[in-house]
Amino acid sequence: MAKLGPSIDELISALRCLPGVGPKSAQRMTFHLLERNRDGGQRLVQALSHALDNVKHCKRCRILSETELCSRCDDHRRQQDVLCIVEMPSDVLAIEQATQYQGQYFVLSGHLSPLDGIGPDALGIPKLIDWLDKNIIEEVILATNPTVEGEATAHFIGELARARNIKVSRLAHGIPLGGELEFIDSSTLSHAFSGRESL
Amino acid sequence: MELTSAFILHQRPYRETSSLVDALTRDHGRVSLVARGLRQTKKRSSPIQIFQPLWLSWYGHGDLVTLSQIEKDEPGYRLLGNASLCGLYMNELLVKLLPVHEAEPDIFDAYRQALSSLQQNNNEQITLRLFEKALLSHLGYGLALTVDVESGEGIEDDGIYIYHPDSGPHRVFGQRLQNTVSGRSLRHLEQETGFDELSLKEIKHMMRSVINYYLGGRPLHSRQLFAGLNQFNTKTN
Repeated sequence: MAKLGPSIDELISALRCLPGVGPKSAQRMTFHLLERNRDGGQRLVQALSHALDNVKHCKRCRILSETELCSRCDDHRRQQDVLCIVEMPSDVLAIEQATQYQGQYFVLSGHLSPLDGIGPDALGIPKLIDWLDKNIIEEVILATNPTVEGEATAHFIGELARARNIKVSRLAHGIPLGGELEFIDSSTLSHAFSGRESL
Repeated sequence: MELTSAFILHQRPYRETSSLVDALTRDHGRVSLVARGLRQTKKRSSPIQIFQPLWLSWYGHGDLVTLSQIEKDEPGYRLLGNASLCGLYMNELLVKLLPVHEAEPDIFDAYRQALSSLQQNNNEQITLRLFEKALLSHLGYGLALTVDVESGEGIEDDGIYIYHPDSGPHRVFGQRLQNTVSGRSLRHLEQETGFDELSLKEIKHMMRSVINYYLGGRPLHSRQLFAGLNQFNTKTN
């Protein structure tokens, strides 16, 4: 790449920290901001630095939040005795949009993966146990992904909750609504078959 | 190259849609691959997971090759509960102990057998110990289980031994030492049958010290999972 000057090169390489942005896209963004949209650039700078200064993790559920407790944890109308455990913050939003769930959340930010060195501590398990021990929880809903690692994580947390006599449930695996059996991949179909419900 | 029988041991995201994959293949041993576009969701196929028998082929030379074709073989092994943690432990053991590109079909078969045994909910302890024994022996670190290496005498059931990873069992007399193993437990491991609670406990400690020796100080994170499960549960009880 032809050198255009240290500030421009630095901006191009800084933009590459975004997911999906390679050298070409970073260069295009840089030229766009500098040539055509300097106001937009200013706004970006302010929004970014404001967000970096003010957004932390909720003390309770570990989701991103501007306050000590996020709006969901701070809402006393929500059920306090049901706890849903998810892998990523985006899973919280997905469940909120799709369901009528009115309980609490806990975000692990990942799943157990020994080969990546991710163990219980990295997932905030000690904090979760503290929560389970200090509050009255009737049910723990395990909403980790249906991958092998997600299942292992669910099992791990499930055991901890069961040892405390808390009801543990796991999201069902099944056929997507509106799907056709013929076109469903075999492992999903076999899970759905073995997990059939009596009517 | 032709498709070869394989399992994925571990994968981590690489760039937008690709993965870096560690695979155990039957004919080429452990292989590290770049799998371009593996995480792109294609309709009608669920993503590739660990414990799933596969057919793989790749191109390129050296330590990191590029995946060219991947197909699912029969349905994957479904490990539930503790068995899934045991499976993760076996995968970590393979990644940390196996050198790349050294064909060892026996290790592949032992792995497959252990997965099937875990899926059938056979005794996890026995499954793991037999897998460890097979793995060590096919790596060329086979255990010496029949003679006391110091005196050259056969192992006696009521004898107490200390197992040195680099040589074998040494008989000890009188003093109560930590990490000893009885001759009876060594016999169980040698014959791969007759295990009971006591011998499994002794063999587990012995295997742990042998594996630690070959790991050369690198920790096994999956071991901490089992420890964590116990530790977090005993705190309250």
